[in-house]
Amino acid sequence: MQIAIASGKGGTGKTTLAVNLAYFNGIDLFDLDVEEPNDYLFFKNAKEVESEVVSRKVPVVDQSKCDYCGKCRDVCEYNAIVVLKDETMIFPELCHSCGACSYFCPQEAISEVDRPIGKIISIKSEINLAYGVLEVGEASPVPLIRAVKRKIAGNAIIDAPPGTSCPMVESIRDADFVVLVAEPTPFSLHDLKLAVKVIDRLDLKFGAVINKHGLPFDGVEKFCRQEKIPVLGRIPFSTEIAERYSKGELLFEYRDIFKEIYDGVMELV
Amino acid sequence: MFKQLTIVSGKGGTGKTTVTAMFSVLASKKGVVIADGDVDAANLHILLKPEVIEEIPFYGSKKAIIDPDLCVSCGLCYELCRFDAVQKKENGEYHIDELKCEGCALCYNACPAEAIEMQIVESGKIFVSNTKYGVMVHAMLNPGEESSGKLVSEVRERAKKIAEMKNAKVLLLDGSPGIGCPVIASLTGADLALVITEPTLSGLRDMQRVLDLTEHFEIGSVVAINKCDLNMDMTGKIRDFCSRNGIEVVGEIPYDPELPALISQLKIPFECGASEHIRAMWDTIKEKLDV
Amino acid sequence: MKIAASTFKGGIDDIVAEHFGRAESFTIVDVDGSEIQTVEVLKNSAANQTSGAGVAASQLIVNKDADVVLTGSVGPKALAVLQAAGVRIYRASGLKVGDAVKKYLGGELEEITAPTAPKRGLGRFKG
Repeated sequence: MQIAIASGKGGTGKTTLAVNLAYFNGIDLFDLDVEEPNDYLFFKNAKEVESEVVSRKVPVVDQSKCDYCGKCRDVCEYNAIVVLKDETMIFPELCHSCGACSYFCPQEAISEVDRPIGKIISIKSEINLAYGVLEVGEASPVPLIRAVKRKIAGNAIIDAPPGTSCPMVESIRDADFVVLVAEPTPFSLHDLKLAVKVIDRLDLKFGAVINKHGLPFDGVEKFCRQEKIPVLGRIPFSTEIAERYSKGELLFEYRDIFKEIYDGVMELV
Repeated sequence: MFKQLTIVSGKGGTGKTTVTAMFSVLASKKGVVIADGDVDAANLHILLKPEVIEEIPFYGSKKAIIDPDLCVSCGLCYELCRFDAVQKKENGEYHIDELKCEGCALCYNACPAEAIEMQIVESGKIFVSNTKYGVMVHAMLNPGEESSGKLVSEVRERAKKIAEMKNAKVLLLDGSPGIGCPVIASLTGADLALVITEPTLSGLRDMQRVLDLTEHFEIGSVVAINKCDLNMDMTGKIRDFCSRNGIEVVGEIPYDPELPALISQLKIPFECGASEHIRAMWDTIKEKLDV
Repeated sequence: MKIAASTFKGGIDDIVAEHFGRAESFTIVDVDGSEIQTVEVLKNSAANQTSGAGVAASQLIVNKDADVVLTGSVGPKALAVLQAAGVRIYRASGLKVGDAVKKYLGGELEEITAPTAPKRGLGRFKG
């Protein structure tokens, strides 16, 4: 059973929910926000069990075999290859690792080497957490997200990245249920609608949790009612909760809310 | 010649959009062009209320499509695709998942039956709009589409051209959270990056990563700490980090419940205590940009 | 010798454009001694590429066998390509193409040997 926590808008409380939901229900946690992973901050006494470098393939040209025909450059959609009279140059930063150049080289002059894109860190506490850390300057988080996903076995809570584009889609697409976290603000409502569109397109079951409940905007609740989106729980807006979050502390006084939310998900699945 | 200020955050929800909206008002005297580079979850228009005058379709990467009439079901595309985009259906036919296809065209080039075509797909729209404060360029990426920097780059390029034409002094770019391609694209050409953070462990950590990014691309950066009184200890840690690394903290904005109250009424929140800090921040940044 | 200038609409009277990779066009002049023999305007197909515009543009220049490029700012990848191909680059942005060529022949232009940011910013895009 994989439960993904997503939101559309950043800062609504995905991490707060993912971390507490996993901890108070004893489920392994996977942080797929590889650009800005934060879940590990809540498990200060955890032991690091494993750190694995993740790479993608980039081409390398054997200049002695190359006859500068330019076929590799012709099949590259990303301008990662330039062919001069006596040299073929590769720009790995632009390469998307598709394999076309090495596949089509008539002289078999192109081989592939690993280029690190980030790492996966696994830590052990009362629950297990695996998270990806994307190398700064690397353009796409998607290959690393895929690599972290491959570690999922059994029940899992997935902390998805913010937004509604590729990285979020990759993170939630194989989940059994998606919990959308929203906050009572016009920005969150706008992004919630986009997130719902994506989830509909992926044909996934989902529900909502309203964080910072108490803020003066009723648009989100209205929208959930209108669209018949089940609201699985409401986390109150409180400076105490905000402070706990700021220190990376779990919300022990609110454990019941997180147990309820989990029960709610299980009922709907 | 205009100066470009890009506002980023690393972590989402720190107040980037609110600050950008307020800066748009403050900069309008000088002549400002506003660009919303957060194309994945664009929010700036909610506060700036633009009137769209031009709508331009955005064509992202290409997608491969198999013509079932020409396909001989050899399965080569399925073998070769590195993005798991080719699906084998039960009846032996092959189909390409549009959401997974990255447009690399390997299958298109390899198909022995020439049964694959590369189609340019409209994956979003760019808008050029008028607002009370200046021209605004923004965009909408269709949900689920690849958020490459291409759309952000196009938004930025259009905004730049307009800024040049209108002789604006400032180009304000609202960036997206994270450190990936879209953020990199919004930082391109920036004279200054303003990183907005919050005094939480996550806020500190994410700010550090986005500062790694601006350093990597050699863009001068300053920091603002929003909701600074939420945790004075963390605010202190952020200040220390910045001072150790020679980065100026240009603003510390206390939490003010009036601010979200005004936002919930879709108002740009000038009528609250916290706004004084944001005004002061703009004055400091104006000087740094030399506008 | 062949000299390529980054331009807008192109031609001898056009202004040399600041950005190499995304220039609208390249104006290529063939010079014999100090006389301009031919002028060709080449549309820059690399201009609206998602990424690698500079790389693609430099491939165009290399394919045209240009010996010299006159422009304003060149990113690190494009610079690496041009240098590997033995092409020399000089700063001429803002000048009319005809004047820029004369100044080049007169040894008056500054050579670009390191990647440059667009003149006005601290921003430097390496991606």
